Amino acid sequence: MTSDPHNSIVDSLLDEILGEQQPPDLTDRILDRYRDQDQAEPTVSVPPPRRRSRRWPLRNVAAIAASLLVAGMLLGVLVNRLNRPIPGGNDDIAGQGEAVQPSRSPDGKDRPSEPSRPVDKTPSQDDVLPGALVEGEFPREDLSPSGPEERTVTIGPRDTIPAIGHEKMVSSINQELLTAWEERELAPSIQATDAEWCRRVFLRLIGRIPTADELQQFLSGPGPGNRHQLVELLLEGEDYIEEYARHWTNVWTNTLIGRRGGMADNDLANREGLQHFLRQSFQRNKPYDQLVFELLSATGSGTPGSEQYNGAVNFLLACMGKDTSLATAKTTSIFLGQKLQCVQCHNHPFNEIAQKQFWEMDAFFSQMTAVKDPGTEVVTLVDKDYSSGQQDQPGSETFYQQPDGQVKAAYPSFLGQGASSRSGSLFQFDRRNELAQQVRYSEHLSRALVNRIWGHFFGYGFTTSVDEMGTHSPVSHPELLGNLASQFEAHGYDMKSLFRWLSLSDAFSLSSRYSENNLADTPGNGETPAFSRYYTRSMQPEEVYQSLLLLAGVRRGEQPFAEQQLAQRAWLGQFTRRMENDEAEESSSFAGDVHQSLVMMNGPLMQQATSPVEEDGVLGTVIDSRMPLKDKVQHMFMAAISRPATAEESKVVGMMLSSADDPAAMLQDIWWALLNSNEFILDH
Amino acid sequence: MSTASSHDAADFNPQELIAQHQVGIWRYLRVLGCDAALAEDLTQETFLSVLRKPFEVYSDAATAAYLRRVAYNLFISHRRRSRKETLVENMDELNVTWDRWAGQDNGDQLLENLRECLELLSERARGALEMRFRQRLRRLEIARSLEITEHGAKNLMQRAKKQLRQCVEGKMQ
Repeated sequence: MTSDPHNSIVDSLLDEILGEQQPPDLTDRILDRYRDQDQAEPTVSVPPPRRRSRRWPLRNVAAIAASLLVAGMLLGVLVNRLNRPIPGGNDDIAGQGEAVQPSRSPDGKDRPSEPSRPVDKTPSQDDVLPGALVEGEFPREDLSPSGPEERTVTIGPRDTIPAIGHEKMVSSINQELLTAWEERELAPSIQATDAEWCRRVFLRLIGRIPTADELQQFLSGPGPGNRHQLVELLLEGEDYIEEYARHWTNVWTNTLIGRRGGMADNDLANREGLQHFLRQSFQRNKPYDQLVFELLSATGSGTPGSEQYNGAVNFLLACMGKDTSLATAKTTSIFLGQKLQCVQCHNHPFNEIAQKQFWEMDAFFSQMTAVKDPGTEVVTLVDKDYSSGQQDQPGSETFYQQPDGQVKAAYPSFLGQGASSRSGSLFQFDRRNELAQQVRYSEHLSRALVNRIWGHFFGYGFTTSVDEMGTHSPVSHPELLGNLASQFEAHGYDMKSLFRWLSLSDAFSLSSRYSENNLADTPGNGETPAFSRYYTRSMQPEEVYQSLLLLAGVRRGEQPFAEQQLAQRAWLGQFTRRMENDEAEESSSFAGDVHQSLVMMNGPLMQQATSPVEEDGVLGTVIDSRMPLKDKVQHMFMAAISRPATAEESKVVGMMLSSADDPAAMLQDIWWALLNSNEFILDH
Repeated sequence: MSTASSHDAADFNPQELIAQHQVGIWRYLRVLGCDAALAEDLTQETFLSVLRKPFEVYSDAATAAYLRRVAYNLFISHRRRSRKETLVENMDELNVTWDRWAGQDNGDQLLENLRECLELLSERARGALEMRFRQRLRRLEIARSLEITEHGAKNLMQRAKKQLRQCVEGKMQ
């Protein structure tokens, strides 16, 4: 409600006269609700006085407790046998049923039970898509017998250290960074302003800049505790849960399948399905280890609305091509921080990783198959018994070729730790489930995630590439990384805890400006980052898009999530191109080139954001308001770049406005210039 | 003066209170910018909020002002939850204007005056407003229909509303 009050009154009355929006008679409804409330008033019932106190003998209590404990254990075993959920299958779409409640592990964390698999329909050979199985192409070698086969015992969770409180954790991060600065003889930059900090915390946590109102509300808050309150609001506030989930869904979709994955007609994966799964996971604040387990062990179809729908399968479906090597490469780099792609063809030149390790990891995916229904075109990810040989000569090994042409056999083995089992029988050894368990309980999982998220918040991770944490890739702050990873595990892989610590750390509150005491802290030049200042970087395209939508006044709540994502995809599609290489990499032109400039200057979204006739847009709101011209300018600066105009800027703008025939048109020009400034698209 | 404490005072009747003021509150919420459904919701919330706690009835005007204040607070809370921008200085001015225009009759006379003023508009201006408010057309569609630019359509409707405003002001004097 921002325009001339007279106009507002006339508008609403015209709506009543012409639009026939008559005032309803609400008397009965209000009275009904009023009476219901009255009846719902809590009453205190007073128990009748007891004649004498009755105490239970201690031995009775102990006996009952023991009985309950035994009964509970038996019941638990029974339920566990009868009711094993499909991994990742608890993201039913509307109308398809209730979410499956994960079982609770002995350590009190929510964990899914060891998953059961859907009944293998054993599709016909014609239905099986190329890629999942490579059968009998090479002469067999190294076929040592696998011995008597038995069900593999999966590994369990590792011991974790006690969790410490959030404040202590933040202090610990600060102390470790301080020590590192002292060792490198660096002094941190000055503190960022509250407005700068507010803008960056909005961008990092929910993926858009704050509105002028949100910024003003934060700036007028009560001092030091205000930052803590804002972080809590963005992470836990009911009003922000959708934006939080959307932002992290974008981040993780891009990480898992890129900006173009699951969009082409011939893609096995369904981008919408993966985003649906991720969105629900972030809305529910699913623990990270559970999320990863579900992504790696999921079975079902990836298309929302189809039978056996399970959005989690889309990560692996996106990785299936002529073989499963992309699934192996992505699993190890994204979840374990171990880039094994290059050892696919040869031993690693700089570390101890051998080619064999890649193919041993790859063997975990050998039971995985994508099946396409010829009628509905729906793709389903299933597992089936794996056999490498002919029917009269069954084997369970996979094969790879060394650079010298020699063919070797590989059995599932997690990062060279030895074969868990050699069976190809799904009943005896569910290879993918074993991999999911191994990844889940690996020490690399938390370290890789912490490194990735640190990179998200600070522009650089602890290693040169967050996907590469091998021995040849030194960690800039090993103690800090170890501490964060341990506490992340101790806090039950709770991503919000990690976000909290990083948002409230000293490093996140530093100015992006250099000082003469930290000129050497320039990771852009190849230096090891010291995080003695906030590294300026361009906003992600999704962040620019969401911020522009906000400024254009587009009401997101009125559009279904899937449609919002389609609109976003169309906009982002202008900048991203998939490179047809082994790693399914993408190139982006959203890096300050001419294409980006043209879209930002003249694209439809920019036109919408800078149109004075958009009623809910910032510009239309400001022009229609009765604020003094000076305040209008300040409001636009706050809305676009989260700070008031400087004295010099105010002077220039004042001169422009005073000489303008049409102040509204001049405001529009100023607004356009603000949205096309470097400062707008920078996270600083 | 009657006291509605605990809502059991003999001379306090919630039904009368609602019947007397609901139209005024609904219209006021519409003026603040609520769509019809939201205005309906917030009107209900306003009365429920008032009925939950004791209040004293001094006069109809004071009760109407109090109800509007409650409705206003509920509206601001809703805007904050929806993260919509709210320029408070405009709201204060709007409150004063509505108070002056709507008077003591929930805006009934104002509505009647506006109906009469509408008839005085040019056919083209009234047509533009009809397209906007009755047919719910966007500015661009109105502009196409009248074969003018989008800015032209905006200006035409703004001028028409300005005329209506002046006409209404005139009738109040």
